[in-house]
Amino acid sequence: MLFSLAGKGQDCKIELSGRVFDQDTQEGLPFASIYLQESRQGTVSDSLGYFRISGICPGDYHIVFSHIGCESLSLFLSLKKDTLIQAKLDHHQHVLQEITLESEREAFETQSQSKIGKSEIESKASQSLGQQLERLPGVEIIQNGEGVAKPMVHGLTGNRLLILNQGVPLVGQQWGQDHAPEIDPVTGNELRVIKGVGAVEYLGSTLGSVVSLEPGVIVQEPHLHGKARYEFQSNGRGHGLLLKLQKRPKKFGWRFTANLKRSGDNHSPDYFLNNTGQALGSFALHSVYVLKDWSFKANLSSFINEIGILRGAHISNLTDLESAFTQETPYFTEEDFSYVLDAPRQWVAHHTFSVSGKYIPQERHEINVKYALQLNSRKEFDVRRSGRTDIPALFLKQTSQFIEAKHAYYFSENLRLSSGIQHQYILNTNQPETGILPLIPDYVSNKMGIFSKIAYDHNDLAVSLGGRGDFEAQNIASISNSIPREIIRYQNQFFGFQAMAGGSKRFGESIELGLNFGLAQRNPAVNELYSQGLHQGVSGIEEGNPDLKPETGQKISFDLVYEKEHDWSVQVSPYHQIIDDYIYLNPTGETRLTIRGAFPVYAYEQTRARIMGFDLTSGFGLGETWHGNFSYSFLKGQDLSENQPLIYMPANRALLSLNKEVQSIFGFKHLEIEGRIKHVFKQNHLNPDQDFLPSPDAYTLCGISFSADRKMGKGDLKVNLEVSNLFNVKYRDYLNRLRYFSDEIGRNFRIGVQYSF
Amino acid sequence: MKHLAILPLAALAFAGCKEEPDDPIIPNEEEFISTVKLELIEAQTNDTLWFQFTDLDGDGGNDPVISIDTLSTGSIYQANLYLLNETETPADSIHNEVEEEGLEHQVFFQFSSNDLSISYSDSDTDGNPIGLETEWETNNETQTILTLTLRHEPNKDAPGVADGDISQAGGETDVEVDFPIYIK
Repeated sequence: MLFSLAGKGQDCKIELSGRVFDQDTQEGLPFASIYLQESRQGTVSDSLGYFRISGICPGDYHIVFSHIGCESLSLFLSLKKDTLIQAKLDHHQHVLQEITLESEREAFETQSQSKIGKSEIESKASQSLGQQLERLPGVEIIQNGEGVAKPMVHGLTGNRLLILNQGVPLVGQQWGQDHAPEIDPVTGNELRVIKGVGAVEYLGSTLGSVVSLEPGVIVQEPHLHGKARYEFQSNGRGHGLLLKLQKRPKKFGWRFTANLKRSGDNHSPDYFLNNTGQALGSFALHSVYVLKDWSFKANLSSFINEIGILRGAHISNLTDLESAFTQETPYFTEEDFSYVLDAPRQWVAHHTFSVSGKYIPQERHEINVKYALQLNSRKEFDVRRSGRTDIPALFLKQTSQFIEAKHAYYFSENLRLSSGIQHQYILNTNQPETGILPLIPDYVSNKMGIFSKIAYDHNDLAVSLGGRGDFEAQNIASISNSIPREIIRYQNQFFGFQAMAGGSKRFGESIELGLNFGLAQRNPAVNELYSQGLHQGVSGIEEGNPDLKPETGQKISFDLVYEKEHDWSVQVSPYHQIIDDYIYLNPTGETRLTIRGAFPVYAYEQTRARIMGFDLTSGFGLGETWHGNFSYSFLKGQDLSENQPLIYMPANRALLSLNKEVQSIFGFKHLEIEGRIKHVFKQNHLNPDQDFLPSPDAYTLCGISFSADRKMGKGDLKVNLEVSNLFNVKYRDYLNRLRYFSDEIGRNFRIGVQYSF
Repeated sequence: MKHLAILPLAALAFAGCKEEPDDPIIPNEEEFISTVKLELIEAQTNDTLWFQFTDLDGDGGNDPVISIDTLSTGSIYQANLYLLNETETPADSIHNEVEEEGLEHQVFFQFSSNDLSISYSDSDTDGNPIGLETEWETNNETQTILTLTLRHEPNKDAPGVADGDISQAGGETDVEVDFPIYIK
């Protein structure tokens, strides 16, 4: 957060002073460095965060704020008079936050949030959204191999997890375990997970958590700045290239991001995982324009991703599946490495265009309008006869539009009423050249919603109360699975509501308590209602259920934070969620006889479900330069109607990391070395008859990483090195479908070199 | 306030939206196999027996229809396998595709009886069997279940595969049907 107040001044007698704060504790941040690049003047903040630089000549300056463990920020200011600056550094999360006219206000939040900052996202630029988020407590990934990873928060994923891309709900093919979110995290500046009871202000927010990729602010700065990053990863022999450029002379600013990745077959400790390469290209252009009381943003992004699926996992019927279980190494395993992407593979393109305007007519009012267009295209290729392998076996095109108008009224600085109205339109169509009866039908969905939320935030207390109502109309055109083929149309209308209440309070210096309650409904999605036929992603026959009712969830979450200055902190966040009419894909245990043999039948059914658990995180300092983090996530899902475990729930896990920071050595600064140990327990909460195979054993993975940066010419050179699965452990994970066929990938070295100017 | 023009513009974008989807184009399921037919010709009498498995509506829908014949003891039959898509008129002959891509396909016959033996009479360009043409030899009276499997991209070089042992073959199953076999 930055704002400046101007005073008097004369030639080379200007004084720049101010205070650096810790964003979390609101306390002054000691030993932060403040540096004027042009005049090479600098200082360090005192024990309360205050600083003062005097004898500055008038002129334009890049002022760099940095602190060990924080990302440095270059701010451009024209200094003509004595100037006072307040800077809030997000010390704990290694992110620096600023607020200007166009950014969203952050206060008024009562729910627990965790986030990943820009430098951390960029240091893993080649990783998918799921893999980026997996580091956060309470977040797991459900996978169909390394390339297809869906984030799962508190046991909920897919249709139940709202993903926001620059404030726009991501609309893609979120159904199915084999469809990863069509989004590249490196096009944003911050990834945030709200692991609460649901945020009523978003359309599509349903039963809980929200994942948001946020653009961040384009800092005012007349010169072109940017960075180029190259990355090599040994497992899969992957190359990655990231380019970011940005400029904001005055009222108009822009940022361009390009991210390219190409990798080949991954390697498990014992063998190549054939056909597991990836080719990714992602581009984004963000722009901002400020005009009087208005600020406009326009974003354009394109995400194109081609992923190979392990050849040996492409099986047909139950006999093939059972025979695959007996294989030590998967079928079709070859001795040689290859970059070739053959069938089975997926090709996905997602383009987003959005414009938004924010208007502050007077101090107490704030108006936001937003429009977004998303185009999604998905082709999935299977191994087929007579050259048909190059014809997609599934080909879906989707167009969606989103419009939103929001208004916020500030009764006072501490009390805000926000309301809004949203409309979303989706047209989803199958392309007939597949020569295969589509799994999900063509449909049009129109969804409208209104919300209102009142929030109070003053000193130690934050309280919020909100509700929303939604209406959805679905128009479906499906093809019968009887002969002769006919077109069958369905129409559905659903009303839904959502309510939430929450509060958080700080007691004294070190204790904070939060309590949130939410009640929400989710309509059955078209795939849950009308899927029919063979779904390669689950190797089974999937049967929709046209009689499904909306599901109703209630979630209560509690947060306790104890913080003893910077030495020690602990956060415990238990939660309890009951979902009535919980919709799930039940492996019925039945088989269906077809000409290709017997297939397992999966049917959409409803039950009363309970998901409860807690996330525990703790940070601790060890001496001056060592810092540790520990987290543990516990989750238990129960089918209350059948009194049996819920399937596809994450196993419990613990993560310990230790890092050491060194201010400078050999011309490098911000040296950081980190060691990590992750232990994932066996999923024991599962009956033997609920899966083909018992859940995989517990495993422990170790990793180390090292990063450093130094000045080079006018810019900064940053190097990082990371080794994951250090001991080349052979393991399988319960939430990866490929566990039926192969081990997970083995040791991996990742080397990144980045130059920023 | 003139910037609120963004709203009607966006509304205009929505005006082009469809209320409901157009009629979907029914895909031409040319790859689909609806029918497996086994023709058994007795070597001496030229009597023809038929075994047939038909599932016109594909995965799901109605159950398949199976019809069988009875084999005679101590006989030799020449067997031809036909794979058809009978939802098309005239029916598509999928077995021609299999024959053209013989290197990538093999039919396997599994059963447990010493009174029946089945051997391959055709071969691909590498000299490995395909299995569209076979020779059946019967001994004494018996009954068994025959599982007929067509594998796509099997490993024909794996041990036993060329002799009809499916266990090491791998690949995907394009056809897997069971026929009860009676030898009287």
